[in-house]
Order: sequence, then C-alpha cells, then structure tokens
Amino acid sequence: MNATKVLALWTVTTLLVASGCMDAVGPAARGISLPVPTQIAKSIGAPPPRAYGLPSTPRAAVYLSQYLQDTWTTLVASGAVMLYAKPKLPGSTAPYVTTQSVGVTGLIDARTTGGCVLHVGMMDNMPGFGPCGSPGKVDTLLFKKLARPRAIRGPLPNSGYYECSPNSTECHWTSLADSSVIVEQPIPVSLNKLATTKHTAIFPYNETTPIRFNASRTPDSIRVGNGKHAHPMVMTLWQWIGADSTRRSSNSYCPFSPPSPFFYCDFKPQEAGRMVVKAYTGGWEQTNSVTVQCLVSDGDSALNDYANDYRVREALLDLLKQGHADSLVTAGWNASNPRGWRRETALVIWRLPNGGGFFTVQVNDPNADQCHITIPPSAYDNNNPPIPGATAYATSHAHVTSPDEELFCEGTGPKMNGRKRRYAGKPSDTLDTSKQRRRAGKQDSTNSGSDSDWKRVEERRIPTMLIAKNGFAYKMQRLDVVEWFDVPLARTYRALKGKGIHDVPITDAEKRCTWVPKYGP
Amino acid sequence: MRYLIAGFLCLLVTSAGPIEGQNTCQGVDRTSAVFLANFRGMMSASGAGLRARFSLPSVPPSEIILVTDPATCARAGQAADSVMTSWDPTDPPIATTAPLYVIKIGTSYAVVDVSDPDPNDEYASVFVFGPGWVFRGIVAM
Repeated sequence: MNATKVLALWTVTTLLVASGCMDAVGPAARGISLPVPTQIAKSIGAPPPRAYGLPSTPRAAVYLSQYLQDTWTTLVASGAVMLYAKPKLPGSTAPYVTTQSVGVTGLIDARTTGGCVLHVGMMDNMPGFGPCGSPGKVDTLLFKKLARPRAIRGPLPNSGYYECSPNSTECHWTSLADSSVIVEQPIPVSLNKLATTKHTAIFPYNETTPIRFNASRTPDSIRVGNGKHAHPMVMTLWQWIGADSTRRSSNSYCPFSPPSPFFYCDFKPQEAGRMVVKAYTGGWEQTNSVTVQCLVSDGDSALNDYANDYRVREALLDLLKQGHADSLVTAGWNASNPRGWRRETALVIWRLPNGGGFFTVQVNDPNADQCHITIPPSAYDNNNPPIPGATAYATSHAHVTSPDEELFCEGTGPKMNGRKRRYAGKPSDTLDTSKQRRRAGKQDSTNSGSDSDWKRVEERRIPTMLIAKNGFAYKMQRLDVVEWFDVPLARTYRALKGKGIHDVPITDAEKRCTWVPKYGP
Repeated sequence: MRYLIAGFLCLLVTSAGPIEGQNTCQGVDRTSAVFLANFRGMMSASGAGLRARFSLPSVPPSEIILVTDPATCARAGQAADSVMTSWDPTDPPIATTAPLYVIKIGTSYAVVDVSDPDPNDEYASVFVFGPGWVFRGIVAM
C-alpha cells in the first residue's frame, strides 16, 4: 500500500467518523426495528465542529469543508507527530535533525525550503497556525464560496550524503500511526428575527410606501488581526405566505436573482401573512420570518401583541393543529391510544412583567378527550409563574369538533333527575340502549363556550380564551353585570375559516385578516 | 262536600308551588344565557343543518325564551324522564323537583338538568323536543 492509498484511506475514515456516518450499515440490515419517530427533532442547524485527520506523511494533504458562500471559520490544529532520524554518522558536522516530537507548527530547519519541517499549513497562500516552532494558535480564515481549502503537512528535513549514510540522503521518516487533527468550525452567526416597518396594516395594503422587511445577523462583523470584516450574508429567498392563501400575491416583490446582495425586501401585501427570509450566513442557510396582521378591534392586548409577533394567536391556532381538529373524528383509535387522535388541547397565556408582552405555556393532560381537558390550578397560579413576575392572563383551550360532527367522550352524557346515560366513549362502542350508549352531536356556542367553560371562568377568576374549529376565537370573562340577557357573552374574533354554526360566508375583509399560523413543522 | 274541600286543597297546593315529583323552572342566570345564545345562534342561515337535525323551526330570536311556567317545566321533566327510561327501563329517573332550564323555541322545547354537576361533564346535554313533546335528540352545549 503506497502512501497515496494510505492517505486516501485515512482521510475517508476520518471523515466518516467526524461526520457521524458510522451507522452507514442501517439498522434494518441488522434486523433492528426502530420505533417510528413521534416528534421532529432539530433537523438543521449550525454546522457542528468537524475534525479532519492529517497524517504525518510529508506533503500529505486533507481537504477541509466547502461552504456555499463565503464563511469565516476557525481552525484548531493539535497532535504531535514523531520525527524519526537515523543515527548521525560519526564525523558529520552538518546541522542534523535528530529524533523528536514535532508540534503542529513544525520544526525549524534552515536547510529545508521554507525553513520549516512537518508543520501543518494551509495551501493557496492561506495563513497557517503560527510561526514555525511556535506554540500554535487558533487560525481564523475566510473560506471562500465553494472553495475547498486544504491543509498540508510540511516536508521532512533535508539531509545530505554522509550525514546518516554514505549512500543515501533519506535520513528521516515518520510513522503512519501518527497524525494531527484539525478541528474546523464556522464562526457562529445567527440570522436575527426579521424586522419590519409595519407589524399591522389594513389589507389590501395600498399605502404609497411599501412595507420594508429587513434581514440582519448577529454578530454582523468579525475582527481578525487589525481588520474588521463583515460576516458574509447572502439572501437566498424572500417569500410572502398569505394566511388566507386564496389570492395570488404579486410576484413583483423583491425582484432579485439569488444570491442577492440586498438585505431587505419591499412589499405591499394583499392580506395578513408572513414574510419568510432565507439567508446563508455562518456556514448554513438560516430561516426567519415576521408576520403582518390586522389588530383585533377590541384591542385585546394578548391577541394584539405584535411586539412578540402575535405569538399568542399562533399558539391558539396551534392548539387546533395539536388537537387534530382536521382528522376524522374516528381516527387513531386503538388499544394503545384509547382516546383517538382528536382531543382538546390547552395552554395558559401569561403576561410578562414590565410590559414585555405575552407568552404561552402548554398544558398537558393525558386524559384529555374530545369533550374536556383539565387545566390544574397550578398551571395558572400567580404565586408560581413560569417566569418571575409573570401573571396569568387567561386559560385557553381548543374546541376541536364541529357541530355537525359526532363526538366521543368518556364519562359524559345526558342526565335527568339523578340518573345518567353515557355517550359513546369511542367509535367502537355499541350503540345499544341497554348499554346506555348514545352518540352525541356537539354545538359550539354562538358567542360563548360551553356552560362548563363559563363555570371555569367563574372558578378561575381569569378569562378563558377559546379557539374553535368553527374558525372563531372567543374570550370569555366575568362581567360585572347581573343581567345576563342582551350583553355580549364573549368577545368573538374571526381567526380563520371554519366549519360550524359560524360558517356564515366569510367576508373578504375577514379573509384578509386571517390569523397567521406557525411557520414550519 | 268533603270531596269538594279536598279538591280545593289539592288545587291550592298545585298552584302554590311544586308538588313532590315535579320539576320546577330554573330562573334567569348565566347558564340560561348560554343556552339561549346557543339556540339563537342556530337560527342563522348557517344553522340550517343543525336545525334540520333536531327538526327545529326557524324562528326569530325573540321567540326563543326561557320558560318560567311551572306546568310546562313539570311536563318537560316528565318528557325527559320518559326518554331516559326508554333508553334503560331498568334504571328510570326518580321524579324530583330539581329545577330545569326549559327553553321554548317557537313550538319546540329544549330541556336540561344541570343539577348534580359532574366535573367530567364539559358539556351540558340538552334534550330537544318538538311539538307535542316528541323527542328530537340531544345536543351538547
């Protein structure tokens, strides 16, 4: 096996280990059955550190990472290699390099071209890890777009005849077992939250000046030596996603041929929606976004929390998604999932101290079903907030069933004069009167939640915010009135299109003000 | 003469208040407002499907009212008891004077008993009856 083959094998092995491909033989081949993932793990992110092995072989080279755009990267080299020398011939007076350990910056040898041996350097005139023989330093390099920088090992010392042998000048060698390790990592750069000149608007947006969306990154620059350099960032996508998605957006916005050198986009949206930006910086393509939405007319501060990009609305909409409101009402029922997929979901809306806006905390109730979910008092206890100083603003849950759908719930059913009959708890329940099983239809209220929901409002002393499959959200709160007739029972908000008693033809204005759902999985 | 006096006393008891075994009427409160709002909402054009399911007439909101007439509430309790008994004759309801929410919807009625609340009951089950107390179904509210 010659040195080239050894080098190639070494490089491939090192790269496989470094890139985590040890499991190249899949589990199936070993007869192992993996469980189906139930949630999405982080699938993309900043490039992890990558380690490359550089053999001790003189002039050996290894390719480092390639990036799609210019990327500032740190390189750390480590690992000494042994330089072996034949015994010096008696009488030789030449400055002879003896057996010794050599660090990453090599060994000074005036007789060698460049004056340094076995050091780890960079090709293409890129700076290396420090002066020959120095302790070495972290190298910071700009990896150019699509380039593949190479690290290279320096030569062996030069020798002449009659230094170690009268017949040879090859007096030194290295061991294939030795190597240096180069750890490479892009300097972390994060794409910031996309900024906008307007968080709220009236749609269609007809003002003269378009809304400007500005992308930025942190940090925006790097200081290397005495020079300050901007962190490269290249825009690769601007995309407006209308929440209603029933009208074509203008395709004239942000005309650019990727990659664009501009960090902004000017756009006049026709409806509420989300501007998504993708940008390559820090060694990977990153995504961020911001929404522009209509304010709710009653000025509810949680629903209008544009400073936090309407995250309460987003969380409310997500309750419907998590509750599988769009699944068949009978879907997912089996022995291991005795309540099916569709179920109520809940959260608590908290108000941050010092006017910081609102955030939500999900409530997990393993016994939740299509009819009820329990929010324990501890979940909205102001004496034990998730963030110091936060106060519970409202509890919230989703009604995931439409009036024209059946629903299945354990433990509920009609009652009269001290007797009770049960609804079908699951689709397989026999609808036999002797088993007291019946199927129930459900009605979401016109402008309020269920009777039980109102009781909870009374008990909890804070409002309840409902999001219903009928496309409406309701805010139920205690009213300081005694007369319950002819007063609005709940604030009603059109959140999205829906099917239900509220499925009156949605107006064009309402469509354009559809709440913007969460972006991504 | 004795029969006349007995009959008069009986009439007096009946008109003075509920006798044992007859449901009474729930008064106006938050819960009644919720039920009224629900049924009034069903009168919109988009509620046609739901109305058809329960054979409910389309009436103006002003014709959806909370019943306060004791006789009607007592009759509503009997009608609901009959339905419960037909579902399980071995476990018939026991006649009580529990107050019921009875809602008149044109010529139809909705009846619900929210006494003895069950924490697991997110929804109140409302009996819906057509004219002549013909059972139409149950709607959860």
